[in-house]
Amino acid sequence: MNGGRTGDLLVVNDLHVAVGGGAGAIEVVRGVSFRLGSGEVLGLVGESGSGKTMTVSAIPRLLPSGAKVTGGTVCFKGEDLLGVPRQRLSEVRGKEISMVFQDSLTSLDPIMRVGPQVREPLVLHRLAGRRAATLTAQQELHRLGIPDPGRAMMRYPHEFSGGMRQRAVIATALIAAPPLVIADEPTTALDATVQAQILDLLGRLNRELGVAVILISHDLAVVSEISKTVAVMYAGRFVEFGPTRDLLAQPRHPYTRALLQSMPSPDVPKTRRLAAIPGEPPLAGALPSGCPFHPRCPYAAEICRSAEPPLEPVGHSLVSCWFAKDGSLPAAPKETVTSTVRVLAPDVSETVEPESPAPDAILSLEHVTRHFLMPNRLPFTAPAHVHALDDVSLTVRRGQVLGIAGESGCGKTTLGRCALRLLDVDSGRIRFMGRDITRTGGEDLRQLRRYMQPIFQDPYASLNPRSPIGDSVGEPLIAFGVAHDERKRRVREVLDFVGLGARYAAHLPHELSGGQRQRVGIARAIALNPELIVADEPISALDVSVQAQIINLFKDMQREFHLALIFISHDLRVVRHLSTHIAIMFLGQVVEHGPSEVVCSRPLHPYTAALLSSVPAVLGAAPRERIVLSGDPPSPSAPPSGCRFRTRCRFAQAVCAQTPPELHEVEAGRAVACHFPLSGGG
Amino acid sequence: MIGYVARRLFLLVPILLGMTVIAFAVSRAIPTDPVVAALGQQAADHPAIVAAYRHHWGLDQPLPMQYLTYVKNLLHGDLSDSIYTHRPVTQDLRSYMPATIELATATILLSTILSVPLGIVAAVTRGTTPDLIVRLVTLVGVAMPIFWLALAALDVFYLHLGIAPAPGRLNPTDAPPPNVTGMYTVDSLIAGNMKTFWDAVSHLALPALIMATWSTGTLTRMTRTSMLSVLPQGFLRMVRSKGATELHTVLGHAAPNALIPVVTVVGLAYGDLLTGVILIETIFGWPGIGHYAYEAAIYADFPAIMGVTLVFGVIYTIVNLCVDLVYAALDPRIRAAMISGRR
Repeated sequence: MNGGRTGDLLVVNDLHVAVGGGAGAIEVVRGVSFRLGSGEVLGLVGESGSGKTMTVSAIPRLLPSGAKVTGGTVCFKGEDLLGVPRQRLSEVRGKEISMVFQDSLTSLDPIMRVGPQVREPLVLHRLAGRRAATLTAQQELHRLGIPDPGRAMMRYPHEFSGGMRQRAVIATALIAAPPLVIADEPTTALDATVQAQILDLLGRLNRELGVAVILISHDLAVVSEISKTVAVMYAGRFVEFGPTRDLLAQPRHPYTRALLQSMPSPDVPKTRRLAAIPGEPPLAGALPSGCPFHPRCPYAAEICRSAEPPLEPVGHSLVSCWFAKDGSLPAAPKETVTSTVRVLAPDVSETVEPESPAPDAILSLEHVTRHFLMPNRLPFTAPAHVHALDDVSLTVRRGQVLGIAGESGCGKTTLGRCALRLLDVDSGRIRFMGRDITRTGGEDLRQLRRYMQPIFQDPYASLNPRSPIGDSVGEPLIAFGVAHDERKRRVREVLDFVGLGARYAAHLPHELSGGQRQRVGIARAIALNPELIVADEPISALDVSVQAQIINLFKDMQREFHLALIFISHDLRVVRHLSTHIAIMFLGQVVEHGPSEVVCSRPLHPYTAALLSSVPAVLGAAPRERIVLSGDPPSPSAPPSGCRFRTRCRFAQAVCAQTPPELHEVEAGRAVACHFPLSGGG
Repeated sequence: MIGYVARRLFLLVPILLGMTVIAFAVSRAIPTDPVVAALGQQAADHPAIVAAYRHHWGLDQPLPMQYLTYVKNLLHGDLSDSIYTHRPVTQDLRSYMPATIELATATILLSTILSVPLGIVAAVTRGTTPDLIVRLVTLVGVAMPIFWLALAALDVFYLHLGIAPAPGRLNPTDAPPPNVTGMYTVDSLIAGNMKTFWDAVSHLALPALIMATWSTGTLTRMTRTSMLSVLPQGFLRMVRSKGATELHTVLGHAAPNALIPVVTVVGLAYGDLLTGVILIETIFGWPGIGHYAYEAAIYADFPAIMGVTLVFGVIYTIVNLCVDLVYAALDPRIRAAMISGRR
């Protein structure tokens, strides 16, 4: 942007990428240009299908088969990489430009030890002999925080945890000290605390080694953590490109603005609906005319429908919007942005929480324990127990939303399944509407299902692909003998409620987008008017701009039906925004539990504090000390003695290794399991 | 790992026992009379001869007793005597088996050496001319009847061109090498007799080549399919991003992953070759186990049939075990699963 800058490392000019050939070719990158200086960090943000991965894959010419560059130049150190012979390309890759891919499991050769893979760039480029390369690889792994790197080098990828694998991939990318590293969603598949570690690491490597980084993410908050410049991509183009600070503080493109507003954050009052972006991101093959964002844009005017705006300088940024230049965008978005969902409760500013002092307990778990048996690894040894749930007690009342947060393997999914009696518990009791249902079975259990419904993470996998939407939604009604006409009416009603409309009843699941399918999942769950809904990661599989719509739908559902909702998610931002109460889980146990605002603003357990601080900083948030946990979560089959968190806890003392802390109430409705709870502020 | 092998070998016992039961029951259920087959119609009309014969071979005992006697002898390594050759079945097997092993091994080596590179080339050049040629040639190899190919090859290379030797394992003028393994190529090398070795190889070449047309076709297609499923995987993109050449990417990373499932097919093909190549052995005058099994069936030679069945059972089980062990050697994930007993 700052024209005339010398020492540009990478200059991408008017890059075009198309998938397929001939008349059926679909342009997925439509003219992308940017410059990157040595040691700079560029963040690239966009939803799936926006063309961000294609853009960066084209730089070292690693596009998937079927995709090819149809125009533009990629100048790296003054050399157009798109024109060089293959031989030269393999000299550049790994030595000058290296890549870190999203899925670390598929990024490593499964039948090769990790060491030879990490040192491979050195060997391929003849920068070192095998022995020297092995030593360098060990140092690199050590620097990235892999314990006992000598032994780690001898292991296979499947023996590593997700975080360890991603570190090994980053070590591979860095080992030949390339001036440019391209990281494509490097933290998306990882747990929150591990994501924080990796981001921290990338930032540090940039500062200490002067490595230039292009960081791609669908999450604006992740990118803004370490990037000085951010580009927002939509439908194969940059729509806004500028200094991170400006872009966050004063977003000029309606899409950027909407993305920021749709993010749940502590600044958004819980009582308010999120400013969701209506609709879904367009498909690359079927872009709307004019500005591709106009069908979702509250400011769209005639010119937006007929002509695509150029990317023009506005302030320190480049923006592609007809109305960005004169600053004529109204400060607050119009009402149309807030929802496409029929709002049933007219007053959205009303508080969600019920006023009655002690609503009925719908579901309570009392000392529930559930272990899974793993096959024994060696003959004559006892099989390993995975402690999925250990002595968990929780209650959710009518009108409450109990958010369950924790990292993968903490037992949150098992908890949801036990609550719905989809899994049996080993010990403990489950009470539902005042009745002990721990061992209820057969027809009794089936009758109970009328009052408790699940919503799953993957709406596609949980819908019968050959069954029209209306039938899927109506199925629970058939199961409980609702008559035909009444059933039709109810299906129409709930489809209407979730914002789909009755005309979707005849559609098949594959004809719907991800967001629409999750609406179907919600419609099916509420069709029977249940007392309890357990939603397990219901928005994790959705695009960022669609997530807010579904979060709002959950809010509407809560207000309309006043049921008890257990909302399970790894994303603390969402849990915090949606829940009235929060339970934080770690390795099968609840470590902290209480009203969500209190827990989030004044965490008592060190793990809660770490989890909260690992949530990527959203704009405007005051700079704060980030608590980066060391290492990976311990194995649930061999939890540490005493307090299970102690191996990652910076306050751990001798007593923590000996005595497991009890979950004890510290104030009304607030409990923590820690010997040395934090005092207030966190 | 040793525990795993021991467990698998231990499993051989019930498998073989089960096979003896089935083979025993089937061979007794078929409506052929070994007496007629062995003595001829004239002697079979003579009740005294028949009775003596039946008593000699234990055929006058009730079926369960016959079986128990058989199993008891089996435990002593005695497969009883062949009704037709009048020699112990073990001895027969020892003289026929090496010829088949030699032919099958030559065939499987030949077709593996041919098909792996062909399959890799076809996968890498998918949809272009080299791929189409490989696919066409292998299709012909799979589809062509082996006995026809064998006859045609003999006609062309032996009768008309005279570059292939006559059927048999050696020239009639050559004496077989001193018996060590029973495989002439190996034995002649051990004896240091290069003339006999080359003679044995030249006799082996044509039948092995003919049999390899079929297995090469199958293996090439398997290699190609397996490579096609590995080539789009993410770790190859990672390897390329490290600066690897296409050659290194394909041979150093894609092929080792893709060849793991091919090992199974190689093992199964080897098992097939070891047990069922009667036509080829007949056409090329190859005194192998297929030949022996055929004659045993013609003469209702129960002890020989049982012996062949058992040998085939052992071959299949051991080949399968070897395949699994090779699998484990190649794939660390399977190794881990084996050690933990999940397989």
